[in-house]
Formats: sequence, C-alpha cells, structure tokens
Amino acid sequence: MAILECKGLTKKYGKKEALRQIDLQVEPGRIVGLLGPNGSGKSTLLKICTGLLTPTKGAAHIDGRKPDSKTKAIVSYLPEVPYLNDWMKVSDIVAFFRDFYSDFNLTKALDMLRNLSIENQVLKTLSKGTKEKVQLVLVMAREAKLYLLDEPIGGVDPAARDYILNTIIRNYNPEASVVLSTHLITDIEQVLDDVIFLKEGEIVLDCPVDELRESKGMSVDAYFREVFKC
Amino acid sequence: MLTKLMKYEFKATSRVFLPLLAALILLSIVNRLLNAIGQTTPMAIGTAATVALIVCIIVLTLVMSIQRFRQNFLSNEGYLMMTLPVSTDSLILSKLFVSVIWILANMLSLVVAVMIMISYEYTFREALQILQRLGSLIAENPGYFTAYTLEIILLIILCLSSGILLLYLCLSLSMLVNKRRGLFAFAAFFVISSALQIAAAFANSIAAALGVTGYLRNLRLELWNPYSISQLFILISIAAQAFVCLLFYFSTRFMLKNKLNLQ
Repeated sequence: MAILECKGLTKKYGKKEALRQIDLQVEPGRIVGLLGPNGSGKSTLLKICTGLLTPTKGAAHIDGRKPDSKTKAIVSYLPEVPYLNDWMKVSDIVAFFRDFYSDFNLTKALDMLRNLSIENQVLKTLSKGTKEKVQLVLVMAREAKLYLLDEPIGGVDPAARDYILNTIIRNYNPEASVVLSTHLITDIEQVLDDVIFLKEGEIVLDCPVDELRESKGMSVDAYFREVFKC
Repeated sequence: MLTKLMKYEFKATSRVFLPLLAALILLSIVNRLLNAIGQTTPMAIGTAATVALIVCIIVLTLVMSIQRFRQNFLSNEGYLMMTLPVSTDSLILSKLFVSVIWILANMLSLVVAVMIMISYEYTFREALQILQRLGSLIAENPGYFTAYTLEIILLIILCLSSGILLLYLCLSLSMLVNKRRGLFAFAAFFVISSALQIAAAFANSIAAALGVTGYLRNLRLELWNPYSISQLFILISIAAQAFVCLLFYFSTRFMLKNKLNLQ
C-alpha cells in the first residue's frame, strides 16, 4: 500500500487555486523530489499531508488514513518556517521531541548536533541557518515512516547542505519514504528516486528519475529549466 | 499526553508569571515595612508600584490566555504543536487547564499581597472575629457549607473556563478567513458575547411568562436552606455555564480538527 496517496486534491485560498486535482502516490522506500518554482503549491501540498491545512476538495491519505494523531506519529515533517520556541535551549527542544515522539532516536540527534557543532544554547541566540539545522536534526532523528521535508536545504551553507543530504541518505531505511520539496535541484538530484514537477498547482510530471534521464536524455535540472522556462 | 502538554505549557508560562508574582509578594512586604517605619514618600511610591504591578498581572493574565493559544497553535509554533501525535482534545484542554490554574494562582497571590499590606493588629483581630463567626455558622450546618463551597468553586472554574473557551473559539473561527484574522476574531468575540446576552434575556422572559419568576420570589433567601433562592440561583448558573463551556469547547474542537488553516 502507498504510504502517501492524494486523490483529487484541490486547495483554494479565496478565489486563488493553490492546488488543482492532485493525484499522486508515494510508495514505501522512495525518495521523491517535489519540484517546482516558488508559488507552485509545494508547501501547500505538504501542509495538507500533515493536517495543517484542510483541503477544499479531495483528500490526502497517509498509510490509508486521513491526517490525524495516528498519522502524525509516523510522519516527520520539516516546515519551511522556523517553528521552535525561542526561549527554549537546544536540550529543551530535544527533550520535547523525545517526550512526544516514541520513534525519536536521542543518540542519533545528539550525534548530529555534535557533528554540526551546535552548542546547547538558547534558541534565540542562534543564527537563522543554525536554527534551521536544529529543526532538521530533530526531524531526521526520528525513525518515521514518511519524511515530509519542505525546502530542507534552502537556507543553509553548502557544507551543511552536503551533510544534510548525506544524513538523508544515511538515514535511509528501506521502509521509509522521503518527500522533499525544493528548487535547488542540482544539489539533490543524486539522492532522488522519483520526481514530481508541480506547475501552478498541477502535476506536470511524475516519474522515476532514471526514466526521465533516459527518455529526455538530460538531467532533472536541465529538464526542469526547460519546463519552467520564463 | 495531556500531562506532557501541560508540563510544557507550565514551563512556557511560569517564566512570565512566577517572577511577576514573586515581585508582587516582595513589593507588598517592602510596602508593609515602609508603612511600619512611617516613611510617607517611599510608601506612596511603593503603593503606586504595587498597584501598577497588580494591573500588569491582571492584563497579562488575559493577554497570555490569548497569546498562548494564538501563538502556540495558530502561528509558526503551530507547525510544531499541530503536527504532534496528540489529540485535539489534549491540545485544547492543556491550554485551558493551565490558563485557569494561573488565573486562580494570580487571584490568590493578589489576595495574599493585599493581606500582607493591610496586616495591622486590628485587622488581625477583626479577621479572627470574622473567622470565629464563620466557624460557628459552619458548625451549625457543616454539610451544606461543604456543598455550598464546592458549588461556588465549581461555578468560578466554569465561569473562567467559559471566558477562556470563548477566546479560543474566536481565535479558531478566524481561520475561516484568509486576511485580517485578528480583526475577525475581535468581531467574532462581540457577536458571540452579544448573542449570548440576548439568549439569556430571552430565557429570562420565557421564565417570567411561565410564572417561574413569581415562584422564585416566594422562595426565601437563606444560606443553608437547599430550597432557597440562592441555592437555586447557583445551580442554574452552574448548568448554564457548563452548557456554554461545552458549546464553546466543541466548536473550537471542530474548528481545529476540521478547519485548520495555518498560513
């Protein structure tokens, strides 16, 4: 059974349609790139899958269920906005995750924080990029069935970007799936199994990366530039 | 999960309230000492500072009830809180319980602070006399006293809860619009509270028409009599407040469960 399935998913903000009739399936064990320019509906799609947004029409199912407290226990979501309580220390937020998520791997989290040289400071005193890293560490330290990562590498430096991508690959559990949205395709192309191109709220492409390279004879990045040429 | 959520809610709120309450108690002790020494100018300053602090605590209690719900659930922090594997009930109740507990704690601290400031010999004597009189009243009818006290406490808790839940409902209703959510919540507050008052007036006139009011006038106002008007009034108030609480609670729950729209 697909770990994530969307059927006829439509989301309107007032009159503006952010997503139009989205049908997609993500099978277990796949790393899927959700690619599209700004405003194409990537974040909206991920937010519906986490239950943060209510679809106007259609539904998203995680492991066969509509988003609820049970699906939230198996989904690890990284939003594009900073969501940490500024007054907390890094150790407080780690304890918070350990308290609420039974799949949180404390050793893995502490290792990653050490590798990224993040000290146990109050979150308020950390730079924007460091806060993003903390969020990513927390999300990746969970042993979830589905990772939904919204722009996970957007705001961090190239060295940290490599570390993060390696973490995603290293974390790779044959059962788990990763859906990551980004427009920085070159950096992530090598880790992807499948790609979904979103354009103005509609899916224009949904296929395995190898198939795309073979049929189009070009890289994902090159094809993206062709599809989304301004 | 509710206790875990409450633990973090206490952590987040106590760092604001505890220093304020500690300052209030400290200030009231200083005031009392200044008073004992008889220094007029520092005493006036001390009293003004205490009054300012009391106003600050009262305003902050209200603001915190609104802010904690709005910021923690409906703003950026909502991306963390609303994706936790916990039920919507636990989320709402954790905020509500902690809010009610803080209001009660703040009220109690204000009483303690005032008592410290007015702790003169004669106030002690008078207080003792009142307590003695109260003691003999209780001794007359301990069963009713307990019932009465419990009813009053329940009523206070329900009144506080309905107020807080109304705030939560208005904030969650604001998710129905995409722009000017604050303004919408504000308008919702006025519409709902006015509607409630109209409903209460309507219920009143129905009661009058049915002759209930006349019946009530004939009941005597006695503290310990279970059939007295005061008893009836408390029980009706409890029922009405409980109904309003449930109405606001389930509406808020519906909004967070089915209409969540974090922007």
